[in-house]
Amino acid sequence: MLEKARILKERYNSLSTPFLQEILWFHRIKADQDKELLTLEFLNVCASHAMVDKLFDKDLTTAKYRKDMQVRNILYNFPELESIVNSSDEEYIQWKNIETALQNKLELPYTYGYLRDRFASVSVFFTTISLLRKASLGMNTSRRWTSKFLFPFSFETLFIDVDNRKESFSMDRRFFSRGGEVLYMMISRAENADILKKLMQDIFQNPTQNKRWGSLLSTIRNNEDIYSDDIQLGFLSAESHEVFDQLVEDLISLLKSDIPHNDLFEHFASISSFYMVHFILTVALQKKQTSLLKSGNEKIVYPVELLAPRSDHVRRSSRQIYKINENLPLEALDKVFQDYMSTLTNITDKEELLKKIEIELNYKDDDDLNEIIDFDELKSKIFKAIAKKAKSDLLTIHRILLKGTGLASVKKTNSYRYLASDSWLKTLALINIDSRMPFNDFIDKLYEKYGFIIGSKHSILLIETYSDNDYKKNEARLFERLRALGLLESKSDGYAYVINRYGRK
Amino acid sequence: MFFKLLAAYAPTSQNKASYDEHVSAYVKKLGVDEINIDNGLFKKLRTTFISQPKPIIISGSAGDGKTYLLRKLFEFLGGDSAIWRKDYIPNLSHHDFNIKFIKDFTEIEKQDKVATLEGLYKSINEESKDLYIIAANDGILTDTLRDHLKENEEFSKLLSLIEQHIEDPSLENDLLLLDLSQTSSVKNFELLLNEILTSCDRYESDCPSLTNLDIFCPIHSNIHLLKQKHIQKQLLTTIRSCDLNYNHITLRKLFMLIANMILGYKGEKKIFNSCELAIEHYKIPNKKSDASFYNNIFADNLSKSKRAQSPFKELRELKIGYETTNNIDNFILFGDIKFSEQHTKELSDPFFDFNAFNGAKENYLNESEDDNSTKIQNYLIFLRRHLFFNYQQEIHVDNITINSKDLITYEYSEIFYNDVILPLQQSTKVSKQIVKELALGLNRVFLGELLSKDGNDRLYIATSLTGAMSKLSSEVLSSIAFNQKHINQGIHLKLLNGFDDEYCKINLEIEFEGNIIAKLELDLHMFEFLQRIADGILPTSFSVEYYERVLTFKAQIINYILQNQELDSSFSLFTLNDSEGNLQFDEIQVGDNGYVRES
Repeated sequence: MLEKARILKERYNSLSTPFLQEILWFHRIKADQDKELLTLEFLNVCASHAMVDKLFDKDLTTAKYRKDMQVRNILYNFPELESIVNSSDEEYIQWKNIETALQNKLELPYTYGYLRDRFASVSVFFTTISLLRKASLGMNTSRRWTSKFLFPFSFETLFIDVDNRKESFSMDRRFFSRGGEVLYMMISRAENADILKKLMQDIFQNPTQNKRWGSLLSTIRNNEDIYSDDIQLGFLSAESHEVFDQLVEDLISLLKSDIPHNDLFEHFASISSFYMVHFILTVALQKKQTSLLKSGNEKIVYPVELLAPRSDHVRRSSRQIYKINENLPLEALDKVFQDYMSTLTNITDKEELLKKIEIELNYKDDDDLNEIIDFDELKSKIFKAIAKKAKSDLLTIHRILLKGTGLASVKKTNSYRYLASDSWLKTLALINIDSRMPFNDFIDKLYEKYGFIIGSKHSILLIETYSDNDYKKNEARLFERLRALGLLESKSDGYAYVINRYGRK
Repeated sequence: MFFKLLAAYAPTSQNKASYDEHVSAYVKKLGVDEINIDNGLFKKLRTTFISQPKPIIISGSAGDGKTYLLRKLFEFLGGDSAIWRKDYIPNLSHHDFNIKFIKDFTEIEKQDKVATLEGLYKSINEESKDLYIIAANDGILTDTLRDHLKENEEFSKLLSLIEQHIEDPSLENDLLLLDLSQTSSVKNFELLLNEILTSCDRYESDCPSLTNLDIFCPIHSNIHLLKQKHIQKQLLTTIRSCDLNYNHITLRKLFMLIANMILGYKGEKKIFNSCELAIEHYKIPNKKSDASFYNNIFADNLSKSKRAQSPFKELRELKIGYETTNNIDNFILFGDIKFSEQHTKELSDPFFDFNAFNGAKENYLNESEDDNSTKIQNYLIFLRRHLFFNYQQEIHVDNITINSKDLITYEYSEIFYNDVILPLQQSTKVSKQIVKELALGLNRVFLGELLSKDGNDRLYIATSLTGAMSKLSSEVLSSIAFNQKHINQGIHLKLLNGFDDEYCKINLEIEFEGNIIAKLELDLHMFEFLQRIADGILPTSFSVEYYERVLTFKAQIINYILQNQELDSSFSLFTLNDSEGNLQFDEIQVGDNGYVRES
C-alpha cells in the first residue's frame, strides 16, 4: 500500500483528496465518460503505443496522443462551409473564402492554401468534408467541437479530447477522464494480451477494410506535427486479476468474429464497459468478504430481468441486488479504511500520526490546529472525503456504463435494475457462442462466467428466496426474445440451440 | 360411442388417447375402430428399408407418430404385436441382420442409451450385424452424445453426422434420419379429417337432429359443414399457412384440433362427448355460435393458456375474424337495407340466428352500453369467419368486391403457394415478376429508402458509413444484377425438400462472382413482409423481427464483399431522387498521390 501511495503522489500531484479508492482500484474514471468515450480513449492509447511497436506493453506508462488540430478545425469548427459552397461566387473566390475563414479561426500558424491543389473542385472538397462529418461521433450532441471524433476506423482516424478554450489545445480530462487508460492497462496485464495484440493490429493498424478512411483524412492535413507531448497514463492497482483475463478472452472471441470490422465497435464498447463495472464490484466483494449466495461463494451476481409485463419477483430481486451492488464499493472502502485506521490507534503523537496519514493516504488538514487527537473525528473527516469522491464517480459509473451497455434500465419501474436489452443479448451471443450451443448450456454459461441469474436453476442459489415460478417465466421470456432476434433455433419439442450466424474466422 | 373416443383426443381430457399404448386398449373398450391414416410415410420408410437395410433414426416432436411407425415396421417384418408390447427393446432377424427397435429413446435407461449409441456407431461405421432403429427426439439424442463425448471419442463423429442430417434432410449415406417435423401438416389434416368424418357417419348416424329439423345438434351441424368441399378448401388453406411458415403441427395436435372443432363449445365442460348432452344444452336458448367450429378452431372455447399453445397460437395469428375491410363490415351490419336477399343468402348459417343478431344491432345502434358493443363485436367476428370459411368466389355487392384475402392476415399466401412453392416443386422457374418484387422489398430495406419500381433495376448492397446492420444507409458497396441469364450473379429461390412430397422450405440465395454468399429463409411471413414493403409500407409496421432478419442477411452479404473484394480508395454515396424514386450517386476517389477527384 505504501509503494502504491508513493507512486500516486509522484505521478499525480494534482490529486488533493485521500486516495484509498485509487489504491484499491485505479485512477480513475468519471461519470461523464460513457461507453463510447471510454472505448475511444482506450483506442487512442492503443494507437500511441502501436506507433512505437509497444502495443499492450505494460511497462510503458506514457502515451503520445494525436491532436491533429488542423484537420479538426476543418471538420468540426467550420459550419460556414456549406454557405460558401452554395454561394454563386466563382470557384476561385470560393476557395479564397474557405482559406481565409479557416485561417481566421485559430491563432495557430496553419495555412490552408494546399486544399485547392488537392481537390478537383470545391464540390469534391465539400463532399469529402460531408462524408467525414457523416462518419463522426458526437455530432448530435451539444459538446464542444474539440470533443467530436471520427468513427474509429483505424489507428489513423483517432483524435484525443482537448480543451477548446485555449490556443494551446491542451489535453483536458473532461471526457477522456482516464477510464480508457485504465482499460488499456487492464488488458495489457492480462494473460493472452499478445493474442489480442495481433488481432488489434490486423484490424486497426494494418486495416484492409478501412484503409481508405486514413487516406481520405490525410488529404485535408498539411501539418505533420500532430502529436502531443508524452502524457503520463493513469494508475491501476492490481498487477493481475482474473477479470482482466476474462475480459481479454471475450475480446479475442469478439475480434475473431466473422463480421464487418465496423460492426465490432459497438460490441467492443459494451463488453469493455461491463467488465469495468464488474472489476470494480469484484474487487469490492473480495475486500468485503460477504456473499449473497447460500454457498458463501464471493461471486458478484446480477439477477437479469427480461422485460416482464408487470412487476414480479425477478424485478424485485433485480432492483434489490442492483442497489446492493451499487453500494458495494463504498462498503469495501469503509471496511478497508476502518481496518487501516485501527492499526494507527497506538500512535499518540499527533504530528507523527498526521504525517503518516499524509504519506499513506494523502490526507492533509491545515485547519486542524488542535493539539489533542480526536481519533473518531479524524476518521469521520477523512472518510467523508473518501465517500464524497466515491459517490460522485465510482458508484455512479455502475449506472452510466451498464445503462450504456444495455444491462441496466428504469423501464416500466421507478428505479434502476438489471434488464437485458436486445443489443446486449446480441453481444453476449456473438462473444460466447462459436456456432451453436444448447439453450440450457447458454443459461449455465451466463451464470458461471458473468453471474447473470435468469432462470430458477440459479435463483435458488441466492440466500433470499424468490419465486421459482417468476424466474421460470423469465427464462421463457429469454427463449422467446432470442427466437425473435433470430438467435435461437427451436427444433422438435422445444429443444433449442442458441446460434451465432456469423461464426468465427 | 365414437364421440367418446374423439373426445379423448380433445384438449381438455386427461389425454387418454395421447399415447399409442393407451389408444388400442381404449378403442377396444368402446367397441369402435382405431382412427388411422395412411399418409404414405410408412410406405416410404418400408421401401427405403427393404431396398437397403440401414440404421434408422426417426425423430420429431412428441405426438408425431414416431413409435407408431416403428411398430408398423416391426409388424411388417414379421414381428408379433404381443412381443412389441411386452419387450423393453424388441428385436427380430431380417436377412443377416439382427434389428433392435428402440421404441422411445427418451424412456430407456441411461446405460442403455449409451449402449444404443455405441451400437449405432458400429452399425454405420463398422459393418456390425446389429442394426438399430430408433425413435427419438433429436434433441435428446444429441444431448446424450454430448454428455459422453469424453469417454467415447467416436461420439463426436456420430454427433456431427446427425447434425448434418438435421440440417439437410435430403442427405443420403449410411444412416437414414427421418425428421417427422419436416412433413406436411395439411396433408395429415386432410386425411385425418376425412377419416374422422367417415367414422362419424359410421358410428353416430342415429342422432335425432338428422331426422327432426326442429332439434339442433351443434356436433352434427359442424360435421355437415365440414363435409362441404368449399369449406374444406378454406380449411386446408388455413392449415397450410402453418406449413408455409415452417411450423409443423404434430399428428397428436391435429387430432386435438379436429376433436375441438367438432365437439367444442363455450361453456363449463368445454366439449360435448355425446349428441344427447349437446342437444340438451341447446334446449334452452344458448348462443349457437358458441359451438360453431369457426370459433372452436381458434380455441375460443378453451382457456387462455391453451390458446397460447400450438396449434391454436399459430392459427390465431392469422386473425381470421379480426381482419376485415370497411366494405365487409358495412355489408354485414347494413347489407340487409339495400341487398336483403343477398345478405340473407351470404350470411345464412346453422349457427347464426338472424333475429338475435338484428335485436343486438338495434340495441347497439340505439343505446350506448358497453355490453351491446361486445355483443355486436362477437357477431362481427363470427360472421367474418363465416364469410371466410364459406368463400367460393368473389362476392359482388353493388360495385364492391369482397375477397377472402381481406379476411386473413396474409394477403400473399395464395401467390406464395401457387406462384412460388408449386412451380419450384415442379422444377420450373418462379416468374421474373415475383423475383423483381422481392428484390424491391430487399432494396427498400437495404437502402432505408423508398426506391421506386423503376429504380429497382438491381440489388443494391448498401451500408451506413459506420456499420453494416444499419437501418439507414449512405453508401452502396456493390450491386447484384438479377433476372439475367448467363452471368455469375443473381437472386435465386432454392427449394429444400422435406421428407414427404409436400413439405418443403425455400431459401432466397444471393449469387455473387459465381458463389452463393448468403441465404435468407423465405417462409410465408418473410414473403408477405417483402411484398408489403414492395407495396409501400414501412418495415416496422409489419414485423420488427423479420426486419432484423433481413438486416442480418444484408450484413452477411456486406461481410463477404468486404473480405473478398479488392477495396479501393473510393466512396460511393447515394441519395434518393424524390421525384423519380431512383438513386443518384456522388462518388469521389482518393488517388495514390493524395489527390481527390470525382470518379
